[in-house]
This record gives sequence, C-alpha cells and structure tokens, in this order.
Amino acid sequence: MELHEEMGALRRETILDAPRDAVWQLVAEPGGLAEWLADDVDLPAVEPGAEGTVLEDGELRRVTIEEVEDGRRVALSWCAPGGEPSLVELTLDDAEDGRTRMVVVEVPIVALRAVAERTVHASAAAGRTRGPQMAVAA
Amino acid sequence: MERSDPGPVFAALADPTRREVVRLLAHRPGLTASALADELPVSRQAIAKHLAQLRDAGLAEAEHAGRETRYRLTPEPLAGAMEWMVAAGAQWDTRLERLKQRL
Repeated sequence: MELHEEMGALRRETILDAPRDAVWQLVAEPGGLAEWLADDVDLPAVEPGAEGTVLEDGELRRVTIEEVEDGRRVALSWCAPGGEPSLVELTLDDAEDGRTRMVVVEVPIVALRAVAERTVHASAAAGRTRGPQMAVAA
Repeated sequence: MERSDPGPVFAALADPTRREVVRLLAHRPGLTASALADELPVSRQAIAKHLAQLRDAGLAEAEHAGRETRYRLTPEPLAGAMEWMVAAGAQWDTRLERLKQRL
C-alpha cells in the first residue's frame, strides 16, 4: 500500500490550448461553467457568497462560490446529496506559447478543517491570531 | 453496495504525522507507541494521541502482548476514501475533457 503526501486532496493539472483570458470566461461566468463543469449550472454569478446548484449525471449538488481572484482563481464548495462536502479550487496560470495551465484541487472539507485547526493552534502557540487561509462554509 | 463514510478517514489522514504513523505501520506491523516515537520527531504522548485518532477512524488496532501494546494497520476504511478519490478524479477527467473540446 502506498499513501501519498497529498492523500485526501485530489489534483489535476492540464494545459489548455487557449490564452488565460479566454479560459477565464469559461470559469468566471455561470454560463461559461455550464459549458463544461456540469450538465447544468444554476448560479446567480461567480462571486464570493453566490449560492446555487449544479446538475451532473442526474445528481444535484449545492454549490457556494467561496473566493474569486480576478483572472486567476475560483474557489467553490459543493456537496452531492448524501456525499462528503468538498472544496474545489480552479487556478489558471499562463503557460508557454499563449496557452493556459489549469490546476484543479478538490479536498473534502473535513480534511481541510483538520489542517485549518492545526494552523490556528500553531498560530496561537506563536502568540499570533490568524484564521485559516480560506473561509470554509460549515 | 453500502459505501462507508470517508469523512473520518480524511480527517485522520489530514495530519502529516498520522500519515507517517500509517506509513510506518504499513511497513512494520506490530510497532509499539514507543518504537513509533523513536522514528518520528514527536513525543510518545503525541504518538499515543495520534494512534487513538487512527483507532477512532478504524484505521488501526491495538494488540496487547504481555506488558506491551502493539499497533497494526486496519486499512479497510481506506477503501471508502479511495473510492471517493477515484470517483471524483474520473469526474474531473470528464469535465476537463469537455473544457478542452469547448476551447
């Protein structure tokens, strides 16, 4: 059995044959996401706090946009019915020849919370107060 | 088929020291808490806490042998977590393929 360091976090990296602003259009708009992320995306906007649903293979997930870094990153949390809620982060970077590197990370929130608790404890021990880096919907 | 809830397993494995404990137990079943503490840069007390959390998640069990307590990995609950990884991974492969075709 081999356990990897990133156990619990799913990661995919791919090079897309389009410039970053073209890819961003498909990430930062509900209509753009609907073209690839799921069969249907029902979101008022891709901005922090926006809530809605995505439908994929007949399964409706509740989704919340957590963070948006213009032109570069969208973080959302979602949960399939009866499933484990997870956080998804889509990050875009310029790649060679006008292409775009997209990194997807999906982490079950229960795993993330354990890490966040450790960060808070470490900060408290160092006499600082600092919350977890990413706001996670309870 | 009933799928076991992978939540406690993910929580247990979110900690790098616990992952190290799991790795050590996978290669050398029957280690004691003291032996684990010798291998890792944490106290025996901390190891005992990590072992308790792994036991709570169903990932380890204790065997009492005389005055010693030996630990063994019980990897069955990992199946639920692996299943999640495999299923979620396959979904992302499909989504990214759709995105590529759209561009």
